[in-house]
Amino acid sequence: MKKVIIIVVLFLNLWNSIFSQESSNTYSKWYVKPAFGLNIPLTKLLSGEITDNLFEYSDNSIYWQILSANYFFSAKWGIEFTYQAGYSQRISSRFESFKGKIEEEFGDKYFVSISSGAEYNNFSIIGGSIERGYLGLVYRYEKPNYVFLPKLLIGVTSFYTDWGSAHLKEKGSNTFYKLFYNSGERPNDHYIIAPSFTFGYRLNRRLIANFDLLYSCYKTDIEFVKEMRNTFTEEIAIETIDYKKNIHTLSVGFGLIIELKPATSQ
Amino acid sequence: MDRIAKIALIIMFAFLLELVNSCCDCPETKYFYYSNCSLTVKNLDNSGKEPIISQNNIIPKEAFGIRISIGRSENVCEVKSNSFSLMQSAYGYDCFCPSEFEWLPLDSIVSVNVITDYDFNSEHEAGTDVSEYFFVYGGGEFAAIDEYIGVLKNILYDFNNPEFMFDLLLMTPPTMGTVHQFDVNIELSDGRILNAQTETMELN
Repeated sequence: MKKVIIIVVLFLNLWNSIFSQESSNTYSKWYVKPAFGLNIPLTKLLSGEITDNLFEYSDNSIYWQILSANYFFSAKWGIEFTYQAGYSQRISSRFESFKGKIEEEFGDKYFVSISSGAEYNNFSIIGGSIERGYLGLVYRYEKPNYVFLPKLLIGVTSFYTDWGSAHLKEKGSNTFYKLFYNSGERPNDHYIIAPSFTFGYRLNRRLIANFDLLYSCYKTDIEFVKEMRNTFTEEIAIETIDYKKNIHTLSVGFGLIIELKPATSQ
Repeated sequence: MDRIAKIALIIMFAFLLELVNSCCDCPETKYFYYSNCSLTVKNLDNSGKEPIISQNNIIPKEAFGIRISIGRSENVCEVKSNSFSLMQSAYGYDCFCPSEFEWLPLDSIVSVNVITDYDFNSEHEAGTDVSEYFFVYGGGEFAAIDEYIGVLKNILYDFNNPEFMFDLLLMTPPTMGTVHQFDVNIELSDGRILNAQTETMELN
C-alpha cells in the first residue's frame, strides 16, 4: 500500500513538474460546477425480476449537480466535493409496473389486490431519486483556452428500495394468500470509487464550458425476501432474490465551470 | 356609556361565556338497548373475487360459505339529559367527548353451531356438528368461530343498520355426497337459541 502511495505521489510530482512551465500567471482557488448528464450502465443492477419495480433506482438515469465545487490549494492541486441527484422517468411508474407484473404472474389463478411503498410520484429537484456524493483529489492542467481536470473521487451512492405486497384470493376457492416482498434495509448506501476526467473550454475569464467523463464502481448488497403465506394453514414459502453485484457505470455530462477568487500563482 | 350600551355589553358577555362553554360542553351519553331477535342464513358462492349469495345453489365445494344475518331490534331505555343550554353543544373531537348515543346489548352471542343435515364425511354423519370446518374471514385473516365471537364488540354507537352479518367459510370440503344442507344454531346469553336452515345446495 505504501509503495502505491509513493508511486502515485511521484507520478503526480512528475506531472506537475512537466506542466508547471505552462501554467498561467493566475489561477482560481474556487470552481463552482453546475452540470447535468447521463448515467450509462456498463453492468446492470436490475435483472427483470418483479422486485426490480421496488427500486427507486434505474440503471439508465440522468443526473444533475446540486452542488459541485473545487478548491485549489495550489495552482495544480485541489479537492472536489460533488453532490449529484439522479432520476429516471421509469422510477415514477414503478408501482404501476409492479402491479402489472404481479397481475401477469398471479392473475390467472388468483384475484389480486396490491399495495406497495414504491409509489415514487413525488419528484424532488433537490434529491432526485438516486443520490451521489463525491469527495476527491483534482489535478489541474491549464492552457490559455483549455483546462483538463483528471480526478480521483470516492463517495457514496444512495437510493431506496421498498416493500410490495398482494392479497391473493384463489379463483374458485376459499383459499387466500398474503404475498410480501421486502428488502429490509432502506435506504441502501454504497461506497463508490470514481476516477474522472473533465475537459473545459474557456468561454471568458470566469466561465468555462466543460465535458465530464466519470467511471464509477460500487458493490451492492441488496437481498429481497419473497414470502407467500397461506392465511388459513399458515404455510409459508420463502424465496430470496439477490442483487449482490458489482455495478460499473459511465457518466457523461456537460456543464459550466465558474471560476471564483483568482489569485497570483507562485 | 349609556345604560342601553351597558345592558348590551352584559348580554354579549353572557352570550360569549355560553358560546365558549358550549364548545366543549360534552353532552351526557344517552343509553339505549337492543336485542338479537332473528336469524337468516344464505348460501354463499365465494368462487369469485368477493362472496356472493348463490342464486342457483350450485356451488364449488372449495368455495362454499354461509352468510349469517342477525336481526336486532331496539329496546329503548333512554336516560334523558337534565342539562339546559341556549345552544346546541359542539362536541368536537378536541373535547374528547364520549359518544352521545350508545346501544347496549340485552343479550349477546354465546355460541354458533353448524349442523350438517346430510352425511358430510366419514367422521361426520347427518345431524352432527361441523362447526370446526367453518371459519370467519376478515381483515385478511381467518378466525375460528369461537375466537370470532370472543372479540365481537357488542356496544353500538348508531342503530342505522341494525342487522349484524358475518360470513362463515367452509375450509374443509365435504367428501360424501353432493347435496348438502346445514342448520345454524346461535345460542344467546339469555338462554334463547336462534335457528335457521340453509337452502339445499349442490356442492361440486
